[in-house]
Amino acid sequence: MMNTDMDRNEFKHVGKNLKASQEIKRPSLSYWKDAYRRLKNNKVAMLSFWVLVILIIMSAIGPVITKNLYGHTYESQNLAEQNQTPIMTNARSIALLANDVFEYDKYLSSYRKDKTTFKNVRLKSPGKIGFKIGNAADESWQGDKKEYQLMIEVSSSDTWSSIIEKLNNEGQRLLQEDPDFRGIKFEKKGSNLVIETVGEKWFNKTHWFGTDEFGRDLFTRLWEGGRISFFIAFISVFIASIFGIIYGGLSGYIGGKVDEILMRIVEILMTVPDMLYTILLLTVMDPGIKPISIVLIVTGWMGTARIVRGEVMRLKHSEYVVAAKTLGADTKKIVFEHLIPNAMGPIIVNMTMMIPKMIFAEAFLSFIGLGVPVPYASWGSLANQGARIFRQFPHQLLIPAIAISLTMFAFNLLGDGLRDALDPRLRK
Amino acid sequence: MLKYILKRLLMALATLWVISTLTFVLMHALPNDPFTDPKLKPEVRQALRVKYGLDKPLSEQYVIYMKNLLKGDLGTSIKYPGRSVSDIIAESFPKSFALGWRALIIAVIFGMLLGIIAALNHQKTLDYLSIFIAIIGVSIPSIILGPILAYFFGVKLGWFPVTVDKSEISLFLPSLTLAMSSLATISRLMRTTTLEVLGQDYISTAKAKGLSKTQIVLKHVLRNAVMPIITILGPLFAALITGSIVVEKIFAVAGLGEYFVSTITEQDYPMIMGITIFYAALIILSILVVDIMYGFIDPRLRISGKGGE
Repeated sequence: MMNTDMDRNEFKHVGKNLKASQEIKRPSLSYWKDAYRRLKNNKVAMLSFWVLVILIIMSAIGPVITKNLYGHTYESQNLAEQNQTPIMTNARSIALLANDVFEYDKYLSSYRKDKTTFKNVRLKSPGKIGFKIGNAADESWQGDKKEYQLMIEVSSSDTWSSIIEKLNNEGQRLLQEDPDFRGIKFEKKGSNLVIETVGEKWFNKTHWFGTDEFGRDLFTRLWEGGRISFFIAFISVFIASIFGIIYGGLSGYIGGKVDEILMRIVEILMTVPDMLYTILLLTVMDPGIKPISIVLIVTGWMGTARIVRGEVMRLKHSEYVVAAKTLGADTKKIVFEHLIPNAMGPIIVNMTMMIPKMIFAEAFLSFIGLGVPVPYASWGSLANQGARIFRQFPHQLLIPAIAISLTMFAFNLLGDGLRDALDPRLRK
Repeated sequence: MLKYILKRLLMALATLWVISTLTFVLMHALPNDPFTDPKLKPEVRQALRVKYGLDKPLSEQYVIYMKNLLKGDLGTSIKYPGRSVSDIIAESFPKSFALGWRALIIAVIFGMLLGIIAALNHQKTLDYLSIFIAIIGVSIPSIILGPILAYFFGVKLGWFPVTVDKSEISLFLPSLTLAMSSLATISRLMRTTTLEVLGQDYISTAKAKGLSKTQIVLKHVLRNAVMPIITILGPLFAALITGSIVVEKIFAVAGLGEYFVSTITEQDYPMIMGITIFYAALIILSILVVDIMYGFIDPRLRISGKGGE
């Protein structure tokens, strides 16, 4: 057992400290600080946030980088460098010139035609097989204007293996004649004939993301497009939200008949999909950055108005509003200093969710030809341009596609995270 | 209930009127009309304007247009002389509709399936997988998804045709492209509502009664979770209709969306107005039908007699 005897003198009476009991020990957390703390713990949302930050920074500095390094601008054309890819190869293209010898079901070419596969080949008759290797028009690819002809005679005693050997030998001979030929390889894989030309591969140092059909630098155009897409999205969301806040705030605060009429108008406008209005309005105005933003504002404010009205309706009978009224605050003060700030959470979530919609709308409009006029680039117009020659040059669609999708993805995830963070009811 | 339906019908008509008026005003706010081609002689232009009634004062044109509209006459196209707008719509809309209903079915069936699977495996791998698919679905717009699907499944693998012809299989890729974003929306909504339903007391009761998992899902969960899905069917249908404009362009379907885009650049007033009003009417009607249907389907609304308010 422990010795519990203690000397009374060892203790001292300190008295009551009423002040200390009233003190708030932990720093007070405002709504925004609390929301930020919770958002910070949401890894997905934070990752999305940083992805967006990087995309926005790149849009700001991307065109500047390439302009200073290589002098590219979004509109500078160079027809000698058209349709380059990020990874360059100087392998020459293959085209069938003459073929008496074999039949095939179909052939597949890689987009540069430096690899060709004939499916399910069958020997037919003796005669000539000839290929054209290289193409003068591909100068920007192969680095010269050289073209070669590879031709062999096939006799009736030849089998597939001897034909392949003949073809490869002929390739060797051409290579020895002119080292610029770079070589070719014929192979029989199962029932398929596979032909591949040899070439070096290197990273495209002057055009990091390749070029488009006019030889314009895609890296520059992508970030220039990002500027336009982000600008259109941000400005239209911002102005649409302000208008929606004023409209919805007044409607919710005044209530009664006015609210009824204002909300009926919104309801009617919302029945028809935005896209229909957007297209109609854009036909009235000439396409450009300003008209697109105006159109997106005109069609985008209704959602915000509804949300704000709902929030204001919910808040306007709360104690602090009643208190403010009793103290003599006027309508303007109550709406803009009490109601709107307290409704800010849902408004911000709504704004975050609206941005990807605007980016999508812009891309949609560019796609049907109502977007920003040439030579301007927006992500939508880049995707539209890329989609047309997607089969030959997939990167021209994939690069803007990744940018658009990543942005929409990140904004959606960030919006979800913000919703969780800004809703005090979800606090753990 | 009847009063509610009447009220909604009246609202729908008012909406339609507002839209047709708005379209009319917008069309005539265009800086030039279809006949501003400088190659046209002034007299020819004047004759054309008289023929299409564009020389009359605006108010008179409006009255004439509205009268014809009430009779169901949408006027004649300017770009395709001699063909009435209604004819063109009647000819091209079935092609869009063929895409639309397939997309709707794909979206509803797979969206619901995905949502339920996610909710039943809450916070497990399958749940995260389906959330991921849903977010991908919202984040990749059809203008990108379409060409990519066409390339991989059409060109590379050769499983499906890349342009639409008469065959059933050629409609698969465009329908899937069209369905993707709606599918994602439905699966997200389905997941949330199913989770909500799973937390209800009657599910515990059903479990306590010893019902099997399949029975609980089919009889109790599904019936209750499907309600919110029905409410968004109207807007979903609208999204499919506008989405169709892009998909038709990608897969070369000569549907109504294609006409709509091409007539806009041609400034073919009667066509633009006709198609807009047709689209609007279609969407308003579908939302109306869904809302009224909802009043009948949901027993809670049936009993209270208020019907969907």
